[in-house]
Amino acid sequence: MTAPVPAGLTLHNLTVRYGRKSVLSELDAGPFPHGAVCAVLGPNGSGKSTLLRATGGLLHATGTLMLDGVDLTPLPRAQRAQHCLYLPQTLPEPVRLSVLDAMLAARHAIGRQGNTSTAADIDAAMACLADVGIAQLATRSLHELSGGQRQLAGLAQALGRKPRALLLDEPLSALDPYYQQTVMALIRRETAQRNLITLIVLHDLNMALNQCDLACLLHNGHILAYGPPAEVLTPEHLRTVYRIDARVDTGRDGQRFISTAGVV
Amino acid sequence: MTHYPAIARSYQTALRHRSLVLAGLVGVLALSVLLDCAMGPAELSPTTILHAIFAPAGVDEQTSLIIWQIRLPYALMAACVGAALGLAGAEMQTILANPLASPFTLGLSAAGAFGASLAIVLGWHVAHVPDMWLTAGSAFVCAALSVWILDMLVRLRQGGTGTVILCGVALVFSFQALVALMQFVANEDTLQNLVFWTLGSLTRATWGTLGLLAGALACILPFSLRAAWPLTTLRMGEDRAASLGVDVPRLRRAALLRISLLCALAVAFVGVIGFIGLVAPHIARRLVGEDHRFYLPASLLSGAFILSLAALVARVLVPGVVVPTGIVTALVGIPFFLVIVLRRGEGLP
Ligand SMILES: Nc1ncnc2c1ncn2[C@@H]1O[C@H](COP(=O)(O)OP(=O)(O)OP(=O)(O)O)[C@@H](O)[C@H]1O
Ligand SMILES: [Mg+2]
Repeated sequence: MTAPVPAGLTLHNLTVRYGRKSVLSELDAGPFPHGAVCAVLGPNGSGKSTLLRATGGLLHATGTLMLDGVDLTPLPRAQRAQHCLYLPQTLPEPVRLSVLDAMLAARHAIGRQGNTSTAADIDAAMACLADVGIAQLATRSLHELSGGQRQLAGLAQALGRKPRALLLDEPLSALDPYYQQTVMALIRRETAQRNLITLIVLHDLNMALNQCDLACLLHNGHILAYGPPAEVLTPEHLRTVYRIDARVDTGRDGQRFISTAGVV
Repeated sequence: MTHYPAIARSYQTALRHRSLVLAGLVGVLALSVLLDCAMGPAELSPTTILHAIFAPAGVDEQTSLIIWQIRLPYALMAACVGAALGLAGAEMQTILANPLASPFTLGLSAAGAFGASLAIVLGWHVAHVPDMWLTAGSAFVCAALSVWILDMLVRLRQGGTGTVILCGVALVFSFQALVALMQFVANEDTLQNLVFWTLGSLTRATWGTLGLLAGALACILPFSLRAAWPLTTLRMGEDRAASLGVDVPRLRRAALLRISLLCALAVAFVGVIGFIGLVAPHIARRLVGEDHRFYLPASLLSGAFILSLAALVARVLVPGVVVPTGIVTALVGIPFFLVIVLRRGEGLP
């Protein structure tokens, strides 16, 4: 009998430097399982983006990155993005390109995939836009859209590429409460349906607490806690990591709330 | 799966519209090249010209000579140089993510002029090589060298395109100072020759130089078009392109290689011609948007059209004298540019 291949995404001994300064050193994280949404939490500058960018292959990192038992680090850029797709924290630039064109460009960025016809490409792109809730913006140009609308277009681009692991860097940062909820629901649904590994950077702790399956708390370049959100987001952890004085309450319908009394 | 026939139809309409714009640009370009052949001291009718070009047997020798030896190389060179600069400018603005990037503003042209002036003032001679090719070769080497310096800077400051523009401006001033120094030490004879480079002139176009430039353009264009999709994603941000799997450093290096070949050849044969590489991409963007499958050819055609028009004006402005093209380019191009850029943005992106 062979040993079972470990499923999920595991980072081992990951070190990332900017110049001489190392932001993450010998970090171990995971395993992040399939079908679960994992919140990546931590204060500004704690290395969340760095962690996700290194995982997505945008930054040079030493260490290993196993996805379902296969090391991703030696793969070329294009192939790596097929497995593990990073969604940047910055919004798409407001250029003279329609939302649909942007979707098609993202689809063909690393060469035409398969022998799909233009009509099929358009249907697939439109389905993604409809999922995200902006099908009506398809023919509008990115330079005429609001920041939040562009963020949704960017998210649709990433979802349209159908990777096995999604690394979302603050995908809700520019969205109103309605879209925050719908997008989060969409991400949960896609993750469950397509059995994705989803990492999502959030600053909304209540969202992480109630809508994510797992949470991973970064502190000074290492992982302080990883597990179910209720066990990770404790008042003690919030105090050490975020330097806030916070309380966790449970509402009548089982929802949890973090309320902040002040800073420490 | 839900189908979206209405969206698909409107997308096809948009594609057709952009193709039509490209066809229109080809049309006006052909017209201006034809006019360019017709104008001059010896008045020739368009039919005579078409005869001389497509059925040379039927026209008298003198007309044939004027057209084949003087007018046609000049007119076609204008179109080719404009096309090369337009394409190079378009790619440059995309890979540097800066609307001010152009072969002229980043010092490629100035470097080329410096290379040419070195060869002219120091009076280099190599047996069996015409002086003109030697000058062009020297210009080519210097322009390519300046691109290489820029590329180094791009790589050193990953993503800091603002710095690259500043360094480009520094290159412009350095090379301009060096050219001025060369002019200062040059004697009367060589000075005349030098002016040709610094002002830009098409009058020395020959079938040889034209063939080389057109050949280079024909070889490079397919590669540019093959990179159209990744270049389009690059417009949405370097991070985004990289996250979608585009190898941005490689894309950028390949584009810089294409740019340096195009610009270096253009500057080597006709000297410094500014403006085209800067405005053609803006015009293209207004006409067809930033889908690079259309934007790159549109910029190429706009560049060709403006320079062709400028070449025409350069010859008819002062009767009997061909004003250096570099001088009239901006004068001709600016009204055209303003009309398109200041037009109220409506319709297609
Ligand atoms: N390009 C860079 N060069 C040098 N240092 C950098 C660079 N990018 C980030 N850093 C540093 O790395 C550290 C981690 O940055 P990172 O962007 O990963 O933070 P983050 O957790 O995503 O923060 P935020 O919540 O603000 O997005 C910070 O201290 C930052 O100063
Ligand atoms: Mg970040």
